[in-house]
Amino acid sequence: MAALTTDQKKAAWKEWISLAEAAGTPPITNKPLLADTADAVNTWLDTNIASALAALPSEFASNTSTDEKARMLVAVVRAKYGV
Amino acid sequence: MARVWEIPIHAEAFALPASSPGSPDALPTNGRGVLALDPSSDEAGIVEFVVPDAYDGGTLKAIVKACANTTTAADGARLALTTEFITADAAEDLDTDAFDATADEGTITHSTTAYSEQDVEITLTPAATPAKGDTCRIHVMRDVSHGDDDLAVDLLIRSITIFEEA
Repeated sequence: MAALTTDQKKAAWKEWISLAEAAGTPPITNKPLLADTADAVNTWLDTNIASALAALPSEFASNTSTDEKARMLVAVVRAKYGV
Repeated sequence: MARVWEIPIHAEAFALPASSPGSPDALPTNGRGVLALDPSSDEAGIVEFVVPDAYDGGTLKAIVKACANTTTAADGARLALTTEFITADAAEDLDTDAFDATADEGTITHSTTAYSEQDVEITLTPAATPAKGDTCRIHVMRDVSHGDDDLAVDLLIRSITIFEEA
């Protein structure tokens, strides 16, 4: 389990705020709550990332770096939820 | 308490410090001018005025008005104000900052209406003894690491009013 650093949590909630402001008024604007949420998402990722990776086609999994796999994860989330 | 004098200064008159300046900005729909202070780094603006001839040695105070794109009433932004007084003919270098080391602080708490104007009144306790005719600057900084600063969006400064209370 790799905990997020303070700077990583700050980067996460700042990007979330930026995306939310672009869509209107952010429904949550509380720094401690957003930092706790970033922690929770990180914990969920650590718990579930192994099964997500196991589901990837072997040709994609064996020919991509961790960063490249993460980019695909971000791309799918953005496409699926329109964010 | 009666005010001996007051000087209102709009956000568009704020100067920007050499380090960690805020960003002159405008509200998204009607374009009202603001000075935006980031939620994750200690940004600031500076206002300057001359202490009026009516100054009578009373208590100096400042009211800062601001708004934010938030609908969370409990979220607050912490402001730290430091003053600098320069006296003419006293061989003081105007090109060197001489702000007090200790800030006077207050927290602006927001309402459930986005961009609603909120204010905070802060009593100023300058280390120097102000005198009429002094050139005064006030460094208005957002202290984002303070426990009361939990607002995750920019604080949008609208104005500051400095006054003397009799």
